Amino acid sequence: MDATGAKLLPFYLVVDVSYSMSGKKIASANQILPQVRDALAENPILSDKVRIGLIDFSNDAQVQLPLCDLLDPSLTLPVLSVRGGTSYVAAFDRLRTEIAANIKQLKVDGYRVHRPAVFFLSDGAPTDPDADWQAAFARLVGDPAYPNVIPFGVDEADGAILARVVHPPSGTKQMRMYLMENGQDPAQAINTMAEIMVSSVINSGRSVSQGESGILLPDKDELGSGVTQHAPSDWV
Amino acid sequence: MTAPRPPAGDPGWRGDPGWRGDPGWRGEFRFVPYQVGDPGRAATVPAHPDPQAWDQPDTILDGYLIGGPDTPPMTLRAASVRGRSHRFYGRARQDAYAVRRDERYVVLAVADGVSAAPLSHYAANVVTRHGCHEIRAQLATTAPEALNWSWLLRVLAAKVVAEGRRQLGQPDLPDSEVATQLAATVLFAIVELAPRDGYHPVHLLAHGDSSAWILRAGQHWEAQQPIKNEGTDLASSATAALPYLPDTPPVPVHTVLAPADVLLLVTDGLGDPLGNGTGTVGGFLAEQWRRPPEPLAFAAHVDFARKSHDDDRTAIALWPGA
Repeated sequence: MDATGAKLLPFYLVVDVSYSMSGKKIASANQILPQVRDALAENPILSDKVRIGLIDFSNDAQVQLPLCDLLDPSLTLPVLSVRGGTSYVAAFDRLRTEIAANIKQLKVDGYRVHRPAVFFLSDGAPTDPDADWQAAFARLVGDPAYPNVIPFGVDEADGAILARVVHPPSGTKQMRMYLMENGQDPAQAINTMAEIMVSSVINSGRSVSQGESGILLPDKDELGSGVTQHAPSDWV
Repeated sequence: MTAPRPPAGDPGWRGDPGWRGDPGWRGEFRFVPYQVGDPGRAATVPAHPDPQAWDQPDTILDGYLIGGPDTPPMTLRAASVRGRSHRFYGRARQDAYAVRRDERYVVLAVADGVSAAPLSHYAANVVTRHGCHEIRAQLATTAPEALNWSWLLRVLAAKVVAEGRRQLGQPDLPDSEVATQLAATVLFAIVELAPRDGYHPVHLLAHGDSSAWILRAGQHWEAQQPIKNEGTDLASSATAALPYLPDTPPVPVHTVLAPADVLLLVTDGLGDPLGNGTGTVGGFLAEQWRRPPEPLAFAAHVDFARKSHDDDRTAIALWPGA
């Protein structure tokens, strides 16, 4: 069916599935998409425009759910399981090619695509050399269709590292990152972060409905317990 | 006991379900809502009122002949319709239109209030109504080609700010803070009622992303401005809007309307799905609007359902002739 001119707001959930994520953490991560889907089901206006994709990464990165309408009745949500390693290079490179391919195809199909947003969830530091993941990230955000990147860190994730993958890192459209507070249960923290992601999808989608383009994130005082919000400059 | 019969000479009595006489009235309203392509889930959402704006109607519309005492008539249809997003979330329609006429010209305006600013429906009303009024006043002594559009936009920007201060009850609020509360795009058309060599000269000025089109000979939509977002990788909703003034002097567009053409002014709620005019929406509107439809039908056409297009929509269409 002719979709010419239809507006889309793409979100990519990128999840660290290194071995350290096993158990309750990966179980919590697997609940993120069902929660987003339930929220969209209650918001028919937004569900017409929001598209979600899921990529997981360890030593390699895999597209577990190509960008799609989560309410598509024929859809079965993937269940993530853990593998070895934490390669941010693999994650960023895969994300970059996936975003570029999706936008290219959607444009061919006549869609008007808004700037994508990426929720990047990790529980540890990258196993790649610093220069390598930084170069991969620079490639990702160097594209004209660069995404907004919102990192979520739990457990052993390093705030100083995640602060470097917030994008845009400054200016009027500056994004934020979310970190688990020390001593919290990481699976619980992922549940809280899922609420932040749902809130962002709903509010950003609504903002597009109102003629805005920006990705909206919840205010600091709207966060659930155990998770804190930071601007990248907090780490400088 | 049998039901009483109608008294002789009363054609309107229908108390008896078996009675098949002349009911005394005629007419029918059989409405199937328009869908163009996939209507989307939003097509079926319920509508809710805006508790902050009871007097802002969901839909307004007009249909009439318009012409000067010594010029042939033209046919006008106009409608401004609340989008499905505003209906669902209980927010007022923020679009507006206005029409003024003197002996030589009809002046048309559509405006789109900026959603992020909560009082934008006041801005849309001010810029269309006051803008048309002011243009008509200027045209008494000035040719359309010689209008000072920069001056007009400055006047309208000041009007928007003044209206904002009045609505907010804060006479000393700085301009920049008022502008966060209300803003609107605006598009004007001046159409000369007397044809020159069979063609009506048309003068257009847009500030922001409302767009003017001409359906040439009932066949294809000709955009009177660059197509929004065409050629860009990613879509943007950013647009110019009063009281923010353009950085460079506004440039009017001059064209002509032939006897078989239709002039169309729309806000982006309609301009976005119309795209470059060659798609399904362009075909739908060309088919429906080749000739003037009934005014209520015109509003129903404007309100067509199409997935992801849930913005307020406003259209003014003008046909040469009656």
